[in-house]
Amino acid sequence: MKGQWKSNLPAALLVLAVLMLWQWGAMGMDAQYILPSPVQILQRLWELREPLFLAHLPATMGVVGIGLVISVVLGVALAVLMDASPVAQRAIYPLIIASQTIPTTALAPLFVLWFGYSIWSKVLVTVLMTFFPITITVFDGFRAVRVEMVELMHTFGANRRQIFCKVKVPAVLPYAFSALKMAIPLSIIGAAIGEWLGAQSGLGYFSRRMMTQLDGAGVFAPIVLLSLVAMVLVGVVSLVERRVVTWRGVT
Amino acid sequence: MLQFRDVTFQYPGEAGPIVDKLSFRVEQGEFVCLVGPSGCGKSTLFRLINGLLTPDKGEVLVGGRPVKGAGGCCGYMPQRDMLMPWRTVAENVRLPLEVQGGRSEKEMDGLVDKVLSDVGLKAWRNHRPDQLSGGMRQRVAFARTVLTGSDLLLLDEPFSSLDYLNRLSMREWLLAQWERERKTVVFITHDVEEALFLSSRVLAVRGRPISRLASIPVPAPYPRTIVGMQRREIMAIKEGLITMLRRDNL
Repeated sequence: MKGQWKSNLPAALLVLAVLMLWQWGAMGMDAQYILPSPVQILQRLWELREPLFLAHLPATMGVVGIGLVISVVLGVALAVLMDASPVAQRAIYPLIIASQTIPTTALAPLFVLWFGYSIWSKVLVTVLMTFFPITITVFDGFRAVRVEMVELMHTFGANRRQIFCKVKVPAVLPYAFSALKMAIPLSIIGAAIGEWLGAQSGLGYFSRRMMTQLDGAGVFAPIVLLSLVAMVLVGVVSLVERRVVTWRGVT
Repeated sequence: MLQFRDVTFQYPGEAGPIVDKLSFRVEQGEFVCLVGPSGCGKSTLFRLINGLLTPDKGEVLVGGRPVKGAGGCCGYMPQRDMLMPWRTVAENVRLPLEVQGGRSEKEMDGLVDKVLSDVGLKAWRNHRPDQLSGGMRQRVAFARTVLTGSDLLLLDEPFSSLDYLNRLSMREWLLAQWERERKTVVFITHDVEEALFLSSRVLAVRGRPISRLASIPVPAPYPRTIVGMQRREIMAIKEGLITMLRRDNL
């Protein structure tokens, strides 16, 4: 624990320095509607705590939660399918890669047209942004499974199901955790973008509303909240990962 | 115990066969070493025996029955130990039992404990493989191979990743294991000295493709010691073997 503090010290100092520079610059500029200072943002966060935490945070978390669940299920299912069938891999893999050249953000207004201001337009943006890293990372995990280990299982007389459960699932687990840790911030960004473009609640929507009121600190406050939530969620996943993946190295 | 009958095998996309009309046999309870230079196809022979590959022509018989597909006919120990890092020593060792199924947890634990004390690692049963030394990991892999319950053990250069001194003690250890159980062992190595020390008979690969194995009996009683293998008779066999391998494979 002590060593961790020490190794994180340079990063903490840098953050502190940047915040101080920001504070100093913002105070010098004195234009809160364009560049609010960190202290002003924190003040606004406190003033707005009730609508932020009670109305908009739950709305955004709903989108993030539903989006993540769909992405994880879809991503893992695609990875398993590509691992099980080379034909499926040749069919799906290039499509998934190509799908990432589509600027989701630009398409999002279309989703609003399709689904209206309902939750599903936001969920769709979230899923489109997150299922890709999950699929690719989990599939990489499958590809990293040692062929020799699978062959050894064959010589024991193992069937496909046994090989899947006893070799592939545990071998892929560390990759799945990496995928989840990557997907959480992306899903939050996706939800915020979706809400920014068309919603009646949520932190992204709130941020945009503050924008129309030229409330700089009010624009930043929900964004600070979003990144804090992302950090906490990733931290929780890391803790679970440390509990589950207790072995070192991936062989 | 093991018999090759006119076996021919060619990897898809290769110009010629790697095994060509090969016939040989290994008797019940023998310890045979398969010697040849790296890359000559020794491991291919193993893959034909354990069913990971199927001969193009001819047949491979284990215990009088032709091999059909991978699974259950022999205990195969690959070159690298292939221990699963997420399983403890005991859990790794019981893997073949889990795959076979039909045994209760208690039965499996009993068998695992027995074989772990045979290989001298009972105290390590709940450790993870990454906490073990190279030699210990090989012993765990060997214990796992034994628990396949097979009478034919195929060991593919199991000690090649160990340092010299460790390798020496592992050889002695392996012979002690074999003398107790007297299972049929086929052991791949490119080390002539290792082959002579371990086996009752050396099978030397002659040229490419493999169409013939020279059978050279090793006239030394078990238990063997390193010093005992320095006898003139054995040294003469060693020189002859090296000369032959170099002539055939250069």
